[in-house]
Amino acid sequence: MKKRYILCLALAIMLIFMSAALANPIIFDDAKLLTESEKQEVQTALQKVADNYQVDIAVVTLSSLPANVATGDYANTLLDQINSGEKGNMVFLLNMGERDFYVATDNKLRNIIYETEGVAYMSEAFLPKLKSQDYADAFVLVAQKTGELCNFYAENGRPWRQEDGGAAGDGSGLLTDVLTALILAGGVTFLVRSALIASMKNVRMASNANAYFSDGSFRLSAEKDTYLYTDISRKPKRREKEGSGVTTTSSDDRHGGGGGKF
Amino acid sequence: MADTSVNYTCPSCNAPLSFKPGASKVSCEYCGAQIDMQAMEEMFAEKEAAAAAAQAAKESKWQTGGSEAWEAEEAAMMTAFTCSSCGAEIVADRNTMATECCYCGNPTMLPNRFEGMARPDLVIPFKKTKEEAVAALKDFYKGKRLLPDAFTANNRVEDIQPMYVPFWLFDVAVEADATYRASNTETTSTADEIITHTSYYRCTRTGQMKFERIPVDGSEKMDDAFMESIEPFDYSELVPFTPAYMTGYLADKYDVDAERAGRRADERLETSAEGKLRETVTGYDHVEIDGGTTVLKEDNAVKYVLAPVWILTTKYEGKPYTFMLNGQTGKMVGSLPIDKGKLMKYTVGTMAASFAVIFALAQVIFG
Repeated sequence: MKKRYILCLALAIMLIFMSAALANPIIFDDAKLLTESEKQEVQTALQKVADNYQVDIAVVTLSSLPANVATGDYANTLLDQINSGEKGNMVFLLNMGERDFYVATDNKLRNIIYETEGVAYMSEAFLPKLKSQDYADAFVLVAQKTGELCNFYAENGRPWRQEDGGAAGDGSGLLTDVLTALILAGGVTFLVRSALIASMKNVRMASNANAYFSDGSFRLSAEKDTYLYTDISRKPKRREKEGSGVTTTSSDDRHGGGGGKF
Repeated sequence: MADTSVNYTCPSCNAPLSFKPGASKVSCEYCGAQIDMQAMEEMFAEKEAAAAAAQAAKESKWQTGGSEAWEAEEAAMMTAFTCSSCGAEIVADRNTMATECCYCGNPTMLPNRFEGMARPDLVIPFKKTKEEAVAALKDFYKGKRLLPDAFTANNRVEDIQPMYVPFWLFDVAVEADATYRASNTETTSTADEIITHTSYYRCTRTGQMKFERIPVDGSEKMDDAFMESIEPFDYSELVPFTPAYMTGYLADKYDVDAERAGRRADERLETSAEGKLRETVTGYDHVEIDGGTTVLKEDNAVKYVLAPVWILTTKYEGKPYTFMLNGQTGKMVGSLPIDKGKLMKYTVGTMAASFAVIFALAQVIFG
């Protein structure tokens, strides 16, 4: 039943996707969230990603989906209908009925936007806009963040990962490497410099009389260990992706990505 | 005028005698006579007593006369002696026990300086010669990348003096008490939080231990840092003191008495005693001293010793640089000037090279 419904819905909008296939990117605003000028604004942002990184993004908003249809599954089905992006394709789906969002990526883009970590990087930026109902801004941010992740991949030859920290696409990968190398080089220089200066002087007061300790003379005559108290501290575990809002994924062997609530 | 100093001269040819480093007897460089230490000490004991008496008499006269050219403080610091070899007046500070005549070069003892003072119990004879001291200084320069080129190029040793420095050696058996604060930390984890249990303990320790021959220099004018840096001496070569060992060398008598010097020995042994007790506080993740360490001396003995030190002085850009060599072991200590240009060059070079290597490695490893 679930499969049949997904197929029906997919077929319904497939025609729209096909008709728009020659005019990438795609905006399908079934939930009527965007004005014409906002659509134009989003279109420009999506086009920029397509031009710069050969990645096509479809933005789809739906008023609702049946309760038994997962937003992620539906986004994956839509994604299967487009294959125009040379380096990857993405469907960004908003299900206004459940207030779900989902970022579906094909396997090409999956290498660039690394699983839920990449989606979390994007959602940290657009989720506040979705919550404040600034949908156009949110969609523009989806495009921008996709561009940043593509840029990071182009510069580093690998997808952005959480441990990279910072922004991904503003050239900070290189900047971070430079800064890290500078700090480490500064540390090495300090140690070498200190060692060179220290080598110029060997005059210092003795700190102890260990050299004059009479071997075998030590005898421990009294020892007492008294338990005093125990201090207990509790620290909440840092939740992975906390704040990103990415809580679900429908990824399989052909699809990547993830989604959550807004 | 009676001689107020004693030259150790050869009983055979009357030439001046010097003790050679590493020798067991005093030998005459001119006629080759070998004189045993004991025999030499007895031979010159009477001369030393006479010289001391003569100097005492001279000082008595000189003090009543009072030269107006000297301030009282200056006069108190310096005294004139008559060289028994050439008759010249030798001026030395009041702690000098042995020196050499600046006119004829004869090694000279100033016996009246021993009066009222403890006689050294032991002496560590010089083993390193002047040539070895100069060579050791040159070796000390090696590998010092920040040394100014001009320092080594124009370097000549301005002054080199062998000196017996007064040391106090402290033997002590102590009982030490210390209290430590120790803790063990255990971390557990639930689904939501990390829980850290830190248990604290108070650990008291009492122990007995002995220290043997902690050296503290007894000379005010010798820099303590230098003296502690040339440690250790090999005490197995300590021999009973005889003034004969001082022939040809400078020697100071102590002006820091054993009680004052003992405070420095206390500081050092307290640190060591605390460290020994700390080693027994085991089974804890973290241990720190809680309060001070109490060290009670149970049994102690002090020996007055003369230890051999070569003092070498050089000048660079008008500033004197002093180096000291352990006259027994050959350990050289001192502070060298730093070429600021070289320091900058090495700093910038290291920064550039390490940055290039680290950045390249980061690119290779992390892509």
